[in-house]
Amino acid sequence: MTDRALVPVVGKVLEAMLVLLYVASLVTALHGGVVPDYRDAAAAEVSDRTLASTAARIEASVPPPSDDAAASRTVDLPAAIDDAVYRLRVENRTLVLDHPDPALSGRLRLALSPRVTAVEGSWRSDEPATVRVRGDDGRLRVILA
Amino acid sequence: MRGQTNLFALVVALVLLTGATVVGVSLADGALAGADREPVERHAAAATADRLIAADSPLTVRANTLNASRVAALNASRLHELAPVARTGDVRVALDGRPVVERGAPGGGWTVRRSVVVRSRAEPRSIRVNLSTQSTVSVPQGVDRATLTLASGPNTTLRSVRANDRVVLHDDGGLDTTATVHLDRYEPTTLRVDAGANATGRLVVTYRPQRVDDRILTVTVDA
Repeated sequence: MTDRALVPVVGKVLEAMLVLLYVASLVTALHGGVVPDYRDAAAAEVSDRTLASTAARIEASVPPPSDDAAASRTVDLPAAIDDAVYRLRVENRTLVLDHPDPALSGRLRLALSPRVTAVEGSWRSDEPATVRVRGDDGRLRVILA
Repeated sequence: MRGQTNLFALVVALVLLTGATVVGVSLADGALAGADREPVERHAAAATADRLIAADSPLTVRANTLNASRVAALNASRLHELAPVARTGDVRVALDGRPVVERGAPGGGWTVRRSVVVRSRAEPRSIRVNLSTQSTVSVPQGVDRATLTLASGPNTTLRSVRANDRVVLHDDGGLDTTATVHLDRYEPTTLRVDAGANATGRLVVTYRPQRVDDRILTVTVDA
């Protein structure tokens, strides 16, 4: 009559195994497929938005023609995209986002007035970013610093 | 049998949990799809619109005021020169829904609207005046220059022409000429020929009245 005492133990062990198996398979399914996909999608979206909003910020910092004054504006950048620090630089009037992951890098042409003769400089996402405009005889230089 | 009931309840619980997970994941999926706002397209459309209506754009007279003839001369390559952002993808620039420039055929994409003023010059208008009956001509507001043709009659010397009491033409030897004078476009102008009581002759004033229309400029970019 030792079998009768064994039945609940075997039942409980079976239940515990089943739950463990289920949790393990759920964690694998979520972290193996769904979560990384979402992280990539969200990171790509943040990268696109950072590029577009920063470009708009740079374009908006150029003063109207009557105004030759120098301008300085701070720019808010997300400190990291997908847990990695990135750089923003300007190359041939194109804003370039350099991310360690090439899929999250991007480039966007800046629409600037012909009065702007030069755009130069770069930002690191973990440092404060400022855009400076220097006027010199009607010609403007835009500097990312 | 008691053990089996327990197991059955457990399986039901796990199935319910799976269902909740699937619902949660699909909700997250929908939220992510709904958050996709095409920021690059939006930037291209907004930047193109802002470049077109900027004060230093070749299309504008001043900020937000477009010159109708320069807008009519706009084509796809000029647009690309002005706003190189819109290089990728299809672009349409329209005024009040009528396309001004189209490159490709944007089906959806992002549309940006800007309220603008379009200034155009209407057909030239001439006013003829016989100086023996009338010596003044009224020119409406918004005209910045007018062409005057003076022909004096016999025994008459026309010495000067005034615009709102400002002398714009003067010659002691007599004016018998065609000349263009600049007027103040912010107020109506009265042109007066200084002529004696018995003066004869003709004055023809030609000017192009200005038309100013409020329009909505829409820029659509479909990348």
